[in-house]
Amino acid sequence: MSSTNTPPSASHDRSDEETIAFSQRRGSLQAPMVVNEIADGCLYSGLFGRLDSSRVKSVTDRILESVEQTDCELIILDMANIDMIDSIVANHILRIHETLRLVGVETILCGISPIVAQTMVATGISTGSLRVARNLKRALQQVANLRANG
Amino acid sequence: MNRTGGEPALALAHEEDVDDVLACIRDAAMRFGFDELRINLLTTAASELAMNAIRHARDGRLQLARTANGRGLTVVVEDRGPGITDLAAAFEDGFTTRDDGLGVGLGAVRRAAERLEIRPRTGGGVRAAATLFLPLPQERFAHASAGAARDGGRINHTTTFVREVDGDSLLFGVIGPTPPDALPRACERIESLPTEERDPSALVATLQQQARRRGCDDPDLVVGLLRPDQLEIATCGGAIWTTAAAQPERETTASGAIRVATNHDCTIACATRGVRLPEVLRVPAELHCDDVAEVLLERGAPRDRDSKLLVVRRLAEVAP
Repeated sequence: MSSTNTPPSASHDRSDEETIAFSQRRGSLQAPMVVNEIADGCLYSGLFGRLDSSRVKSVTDRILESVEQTDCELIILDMANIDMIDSIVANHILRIHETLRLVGVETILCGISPIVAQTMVATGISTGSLRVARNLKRALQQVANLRANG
Repeated sequence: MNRTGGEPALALAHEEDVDDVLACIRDAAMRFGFDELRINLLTTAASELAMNAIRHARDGRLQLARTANGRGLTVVVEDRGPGITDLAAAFEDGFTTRDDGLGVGLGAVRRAAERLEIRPRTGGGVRAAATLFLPLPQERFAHASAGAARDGGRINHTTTFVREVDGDSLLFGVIGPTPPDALPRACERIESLPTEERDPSALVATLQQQARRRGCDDPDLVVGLLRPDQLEIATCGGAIWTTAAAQPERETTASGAIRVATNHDCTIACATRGVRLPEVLRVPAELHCDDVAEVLLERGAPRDRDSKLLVVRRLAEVAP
């Protein structure tokens, strides 16, 4: 792929000029993941940081463990502390959802920030037909509605 | 050139590295003055490219650079891997060589970045550079279009577009009249124009081919690129344009576009066939862009056909 069909004139050389040095690397900060039973038969988990492959395994294991212990049928995954969802993270979320679906647990995503949502739409990254609520309060309303409708 | 102390490039060896890399990019983008959406788009592009390098290649490294015009940030990811054998396929959504990917990675980068260059490296591997720019200062740029069905309700199958590029330039144009089913396609095409395409002649040729495939053999097309110090513009069909520069001041580029040196104040009007425009356009600074468009159309457009006119304007920088 070329930038244009004709080379730009000298006065419009758009090559990158100045490399920016990165500040001291800080090391990854990963908050411990918590899974709580927030309502009868409904778990809540807040996700933090970036879901890489190794983290997604521990997140899935932790959730499945809690599912077994509580006999829940719904889980709310709170994305309020996730500041970017790229295609790999989106795929991890879909895989967690698919795994949970197979053990009879419905997933509700909540807390996706407007900027993250705008970025996902702009880049064409999607979490498919996953059930989504605006925030935890709305997610709990959805849980109540799902219960009421059997 | 390395501006300050610190690491000029970050190694991409493990997935766990990416969080840290993205935090550095986020900090730098914030300091550069990007808004939240641009910061997120840049980090998303960086994440996709970094993960590609980690998963599909080796010796990956990531650099961040300021563009030459000082208006953009570029994330550069280089690796030593198998390369991308079919770049067009790699950009298509659903294409993946792994079973744990959505297959939208490179497509997402293309949609996130305002400019994307991917090229093979000597000795094997890929160099990918994704750039986002600061928005143009709104107070200095304006555009307005005018034109409608003039014969009692007929739909005007003409469209205009204006797009910011490189943080300091405007890409703009008029397309039409096209058959009804071609117009949505034409608009779609403009929206999805590869972000790295800048040459007006090449863009006119691309859009002309597209219109012809849709049954419009002789479309009117104007595409212009208003750079900080010059205007390049190309046309086909009966499309016309005008600016303050007189004919002798215009030169033809190698690709067939017309190039005109501009000063800070620059107004351009372009239109589909049939519209009459003055040979030299002189617009008082205080006149609003919408008014310029309406006046030009009123004076120069026939009343019995679709007519569309676009006025693009850059004003001089106001001294602080």
